[in-house]
Order: sequence, then C-alpha cells, then structure tokens
Amino acid sequence: MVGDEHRAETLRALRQLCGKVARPHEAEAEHRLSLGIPALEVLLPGRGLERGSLVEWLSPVEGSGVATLAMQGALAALDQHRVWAVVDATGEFHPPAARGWGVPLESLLLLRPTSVADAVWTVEQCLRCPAIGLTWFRTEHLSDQVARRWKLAAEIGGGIGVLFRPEAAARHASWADVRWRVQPRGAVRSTGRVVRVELVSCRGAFAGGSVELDVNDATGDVRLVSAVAGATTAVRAAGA
Amino acid sequence: MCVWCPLWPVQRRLSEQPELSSRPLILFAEGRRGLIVTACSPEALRLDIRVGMPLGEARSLLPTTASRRSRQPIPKPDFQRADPVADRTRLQALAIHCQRYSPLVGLEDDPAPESLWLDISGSEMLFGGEQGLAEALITDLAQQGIQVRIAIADTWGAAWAVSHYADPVVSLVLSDEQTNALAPLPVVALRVSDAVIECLRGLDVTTIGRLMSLPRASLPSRFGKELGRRLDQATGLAPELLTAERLIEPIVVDWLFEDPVTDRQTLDHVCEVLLERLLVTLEARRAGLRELTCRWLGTAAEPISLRLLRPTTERQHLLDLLRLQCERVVFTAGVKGVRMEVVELGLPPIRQATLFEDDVGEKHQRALAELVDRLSSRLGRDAVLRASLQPDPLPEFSCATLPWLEQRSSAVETVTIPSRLRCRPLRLLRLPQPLTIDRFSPDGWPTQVDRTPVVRVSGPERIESGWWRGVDAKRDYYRLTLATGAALWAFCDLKSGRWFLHGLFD
Repeated sequence: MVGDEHRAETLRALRQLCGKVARPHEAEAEHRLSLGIPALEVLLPGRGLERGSLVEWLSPVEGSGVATLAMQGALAALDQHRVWAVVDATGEFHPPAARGWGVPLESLLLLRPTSVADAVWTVEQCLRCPAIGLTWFRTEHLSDQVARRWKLAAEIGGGIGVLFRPEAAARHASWADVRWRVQPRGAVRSTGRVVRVELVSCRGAFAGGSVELDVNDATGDVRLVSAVAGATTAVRAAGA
Repeated sequence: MCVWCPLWPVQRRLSEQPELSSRPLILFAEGRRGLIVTACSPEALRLDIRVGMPLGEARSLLPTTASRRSRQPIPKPDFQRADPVADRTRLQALAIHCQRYSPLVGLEDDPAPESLWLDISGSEMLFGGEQGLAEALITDLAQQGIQVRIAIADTWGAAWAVSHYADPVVSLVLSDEQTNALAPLPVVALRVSDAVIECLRGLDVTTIGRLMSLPRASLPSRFGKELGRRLDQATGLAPELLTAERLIEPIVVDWLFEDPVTDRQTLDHVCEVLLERLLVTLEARRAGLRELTCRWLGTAAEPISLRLLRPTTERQHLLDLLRLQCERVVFTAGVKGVRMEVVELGLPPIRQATLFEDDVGEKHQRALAELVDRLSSRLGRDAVLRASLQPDPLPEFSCATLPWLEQRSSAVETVTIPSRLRCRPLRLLRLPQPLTIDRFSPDGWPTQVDRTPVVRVSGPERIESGWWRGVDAKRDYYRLTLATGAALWAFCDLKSGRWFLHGLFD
C-alpha cells in the first residue's frame, strides 16, 4: 500500500513538472485571446492564444486563404487602442479587403520596409511595442536567431506575432508557439472555399488535430464543415 | 495706418514671377459649379475677363476678344490655381518686414486678407511725420514689386475705408475730419456683407454720410447688428482689435570644429550636446520639439530631418531617433561643423498624474507615438502609412495611403458594403501580371491557367472607369480557383483581349 501511494505521489509530481516545462507561461482563460474561429480554439490547450505568442501559418500555395483565416482573430487582439501592424515589404497588402472582414482601417499601421534587414528590425520593433496588438509578416526564410529575438520581443510587448510561411518551413524547428498548416480542399462552394487546417505544433499540447472550415465570402462566416456520417454507421442506424 | 495691396493674389504672383508681368494672369479655384475665376490682372480685365466667371467661359473668351479688340498679338495668358494659404503666408512675411516701421503690425480680419494694419503711434517721428513714414513705406514695398495704397486715421475702420475708396495713394485723415472723410465714401467701405449692401441700396442709402444721417437706434432692427458695429468701429465708438504678427526667433545651435572631423563617435557626442542645448531652450519656452533638422557643415552629406508624431522633450527618445538617422548618413568628406535647428514647435502632451496607474489607452497612445517616430526615422516617412478607402472602382485606386506622421484627413469616410469588399483579394499586385491561359471553355472562360486546371470560375465583375486619367480601363474580373487550391483574381482587358493576374485571395 505504501509503495502504491509513493508511486502515485511520484507520478503526480512528475506530471506537474512536465506541465510546467510544457506550459511555462500558462495564463488564465480570461486573459487568452480568441482566434475568432471556435473550431480552431478547441484544438489549443487553453482554447485561445496567450499574449506574447508567435503564430505561424504554413500554406502549400499562394492564394490558399491562409491570411483570411488568420485575420479572424484580429479584432480580439486590437483591444485597448492597440494597433494592427502589417509589415508589407512587397507593397501588396490590400487594406480594403481587410476592411471588408471587419477590421477598422484606423487601427492599421502599414509598414513598407525596402530591405530584408529593415523588415526584420521593423517586425522586432512592432512586437516589442505594447501598443501593437497584432504584427503580420510574410517570410520564406527565417533564421533561428531572428525567430528567437522575435519571440522574446513578443513576450515583452504582449502582442501576437503572425508569420506566414511556405509549407516547406514545417520541416524545420520553430520558436513559434503555435503552427498551423492550411490546405485548400477540392470541395467548391458558390461563395467561398473549404480549407483543412491542421495544428502542426503547439507548446503545451499534442499536435495533430485538424478541422475542415468553410470560408464564406458573402456572409463573412467561417464555419466548421459538417462531417458526413460513414456509410456503415448510416446502414446500422437504419437497422439494416 | 492701413496699407492695402490691391489684387494681392495677383501682385504676389507677379512679385515672385516677374516674367509674368506682361501677360494676362488669371487665378482660378473650385467653385460651387466647377472652376471659377477668383482674381485676374489688369491685362486680363482688359480682355473682358471678370472675377466670378466660369473658367471655361474665360478661356473661350480669349481668342474672340483678341481678334475683336486688336490685330496685335496678345501675350499668352497664364492660368494658375489660386493659393490662399500662400497668399496669407506671404502677407504675414510682409507684416514681419514692416515691423521696421511699427512694432505692432497685423493682418486685417478677413478670410482673404489684402491689407496690413500698423499702429504707428510714436514711430512716425522717426520718419519725419506721418507723410514721411507713408512715403518711405511705399518706396520700400515698390522695390519688392508691390504697389500699395495707404491711409492713416484714428481708427482701423476709417483707415481701411479711406485706403480702399479714396482717390489719393496716401491719405492722412485728421482726427476732427474723420467723419467728413468717411461721409462721401460708399457704404461698401464699411466692410459689411453683400446682403446689407443690397438692402441699403434698395433704400438709396449709397454713402456713409447718408447712412449716418439715419437715426442710429433704428439701424440694428432694420439692417442687423453688423452694420451698426462696423459704423461704430469706423467712427471710433466701438473698439476693434489688432492681432499683431510676431517674428518667431529661430532656435538654432551649432558647433564648429577646428579641423574637419569624420569620426562617428565625435559627431554622435556633438549631436548629443547640441540636442541638450536645444532642449534647454525649449524648456524655457515650455514647448516640445515637433520637427528638427541637422545639417553637416562643409560637406555634401544629406541633412537629417526628424519629425515626430507628437511634440516631445524626452531626451533619450530624441537621441535614439537621431542616432537611427546618423547611422545612415554617408560622409564623403570631413565635417566642419554641425548645425541643429528647430523647424516646428508644439505643446508637449500633458501627463495627468493618477493615484494608481496610467490609463492603459493613453499608455498605448504614447508607446505608439514613440514607435511611429522610430520607424519613420529609420524607414522614412513614406514607409510608415495609414490607409483610407477611396470612392474609386478601380482596385489600384480604391485605397489611399498617407504617412502616419501627417495629420489624419477630416474627409468623410467612403461608404462601403462589406460583402463587396470581401470579394477583393488581400494581396493586390502592384502591377497586373500577364497570365497565360492555356484553354478556354466554349463560353470563353479559362479552364487551364499555366498548365493548372481551373476548377471554378466566378464572375465576371465588369469595371469600366478612369477616363479622366487619360487611359480608360475596361476590365472583366474573374475569381479563378485552381486545382492546387489557389484562388486568383484575374481580369480580361476588354480592349486588348489579354488576361492579367491582379491579386491573390490569401
């Protein structure tokens, strides 16, 4: 009996230790930021993002709708007069579309650095500033050193850093707290598209969960695609 | 003393561009019904062009008038857009110049001032009397190409009226003859509105003398308070204030080296010292720094221009911004000196002391201002932008960007329909890229793009606009979903029949 109690106590202590290692910055649920898509929040340990997080969105092709998904949580991050910084080195970001998805342009700080060094510096400055709630940046190559600096800057500033990267980046380790992979699906909608979103990695949680989302341009809704019941289940339910 | 510069907008242009003096000059501005003439030179008046005339009518009048009036070639008229801000600024500069004749010089109280008011009490002795002062002033301004008419009276109102409507170029109105001097002048000389003038003319009250013969008590009820006030100001029964222009002493500090210097650390240290001196001066004036320039003497290196979102006196913040810019300056020769000048001052934001902690919103505003200053310093003002929607159907013109450091426009925001904006891509290419369409359906829709099958096509959305820019755009926009999952925003140019990629639904 004594041996069992000792083993149980040891296991409990180890679980706590593992929990601390896995979730070093665990925040209260009310302090977490919404992603704007409940189906994705379910996959995260605290059902939301902690302030000071770096989030990576990976996509296999350009025009996959990844930025539209990432923008759903923008309003939640822009509370208390915070601003949305878009580091747009190519000058291709189109603000009217963001306005269509409900983001006020008064809260948009559009930055157009002309060199890679300037872009890296700009992202770090934005992440470090407490007035910036959300920092967007699209990059293909990211060194570990820069990513680590950005992570520390985000923790200091308390905003969310959102990085858009090609799917090939999934092969490399990342300092990001959350990594999503977006894969457009073949299903065709009359007013939108269907995408599969997979949680590639997340600090403090097991990765691998995925959902299919229906993005409707006409209504502005992003909803979970209803799963069709398997044929065997349907046959059994019918009593056949 | 009232110094009137007749046709001031025209005189200003001619004094700045003397080559225009022989040509008819016509100034125009946006009116209620298009462009109208706001001022014109005497040469243009001789061509029957009048103020208030539509610009198109004035243009059409020129050749006809020329052929009818004379067979001699008429100099080509010059049409320029009116610039009331520049007119006022130049008049303010003229007021500062005239401070050598009087310590108190101001502009007349009018949206488009043309006159200067000088309080010459006591200073006329320096010029041998009022007449001498007026003649010296006329000679002085004539050397700058400015013709003026001058009147000296006991009140601003009387001086203004006499300078504008009496014959002599210089009129001296004695104290006991002020009423007599005003009496023959038209009622327009009282600076009242057109409606009051019309009303007085209807009653055959055309001169100030006839107006003064009416019972004073009946004027407000019959013509409003404005007429009585102006009449009292002209006769000295009511006060009229003069807002004097003040010469703001520039705040400049400099440091001269004995030998040219190229060492960065030395320059950094000198900048720090000069900034300290500037801040001491600003503190004495209780002002904050809004814009600063730093010049490198003896070298062709680009000067530094530092503009801030909010005026500040925070030393460390300013030093950081200066260093950010100094790092980028390339010195090809030794620097002989450094000169720092304050371009614009402002009131520093007042920090309300609170019992517990700062308001979070205010804290964020302050942090944002510092961030924008830093970003603008390193990336340049044109790289730190705010966006606003524009009522233009062409996608490339549907959004305007403005440096964040500039004041937000007070224009009413464009009314938009969110669902229509959601049909626009989040990535819009700066220039539409040619798109290779491999196959078309029998209906003429693309079915294969760059060897990738198209699984869905939605559209077209036709956009025809922009004729006023010279090149008319006629496009049919489609949203193409490829088999890879990529959603493209492409259009067919209806004039050439070619396809272009314009955006990506990222």
